[in-house]
Amino acid sequence: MLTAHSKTTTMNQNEIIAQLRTTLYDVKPQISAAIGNADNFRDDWGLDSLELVEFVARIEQSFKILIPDKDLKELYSLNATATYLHSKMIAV
Amino acid sequence: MQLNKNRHLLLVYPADMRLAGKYLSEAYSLLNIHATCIEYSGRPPAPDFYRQILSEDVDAVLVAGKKMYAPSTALPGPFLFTQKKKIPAAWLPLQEETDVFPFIQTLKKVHRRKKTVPGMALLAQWHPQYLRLTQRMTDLLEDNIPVFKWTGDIITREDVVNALGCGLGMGIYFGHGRSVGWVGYYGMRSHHFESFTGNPLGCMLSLCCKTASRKRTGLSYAESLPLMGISAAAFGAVRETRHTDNMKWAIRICDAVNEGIDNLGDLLIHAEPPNIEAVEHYRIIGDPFAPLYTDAGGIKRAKNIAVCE
Repeated sequence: MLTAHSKTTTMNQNEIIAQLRTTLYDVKPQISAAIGNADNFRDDWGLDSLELVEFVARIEQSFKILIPDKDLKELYSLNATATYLHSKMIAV
Repeated sequence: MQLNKNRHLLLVYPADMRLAGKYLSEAYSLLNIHATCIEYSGRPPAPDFYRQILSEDVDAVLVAGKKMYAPSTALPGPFLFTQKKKIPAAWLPLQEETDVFPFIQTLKKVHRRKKTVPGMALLAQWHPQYLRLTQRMTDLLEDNIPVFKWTGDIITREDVVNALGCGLGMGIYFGHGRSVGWVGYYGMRSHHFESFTGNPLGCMLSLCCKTASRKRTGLSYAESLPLMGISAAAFGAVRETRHTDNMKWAIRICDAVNEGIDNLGDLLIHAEPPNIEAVEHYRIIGDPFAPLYTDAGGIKRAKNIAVCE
């Protein structure tokens, strides 16, 4: 099995976003296909705090990483989340 | 650690409570759980002690000890570690050696349940953020296991005490917590269970602050539940917790239950969030092997609990 580090560093931005859409489907299936990469989760699609925390919890599970609470504000869109995950993994 | 294989418990107890250790060891033996007994003198052993004696074939640790010691100091967290694995570790406070008897009765009841389905009671303080979380858990679980939402907005304290006697595998509470109990249900305290005559829960998880803390109480709420025979095990925090961490626990518990996890120790190992502070504040009280199965007839009894919806 790939580690989070090797998995994400070998994934490009589009592949990470595709994975994030799959994760988002588990949280809110009705928006995962329609949401744009730059759309704001909260302002454009109305995800509430529980849905955002569930999304983060599922990212932590699927990418096997830890996302501290202080970083939650950086995960406001698919693009931003993918950038965050990529940068975090490269920094490991 | 699976319920259908022979399991190995490391049972640690004070040298001057040898009889309590013997009773516990015999009880686990009757449940096909092999207990290796270790005695200690003075205060409960420090983590270094376990590093020296834990072997890879140990599935769980139960530390019995004098009630004067608090969960926060009796164990460093809900798990101990060997070179290769994480082991659930539980605390059992005793005033006298005979305090083990009600606990042993509960052990026998919950372990002898037929291996059917888990059943979960979802409990919460009457507040939108906790009610929303229990609804989300219901949505995630109800296709796989029976779930009963007995939150503070639809059931009274007296009725929820009665409902918890249905014999379900587990209960989970969300809301504010104190060392003496839950803030929800207009204040739930251990004395509200004094006339409890129902079937015990396998385990009761309080995903909130402080229910295993000793602040201004001789015995915490989480400790009193297994000692009173309300549940075989309890899971509670020894200090403040963060709601986001408890939400992560909740989501991960749903995933673990949906994967078929059947006992408390495995559930906690599979569901623990990755940040250490979300985990280290919690302690397991009572039986680390507590099964999540529901009593025969328990689902039927739970379905008959009236709520105001």
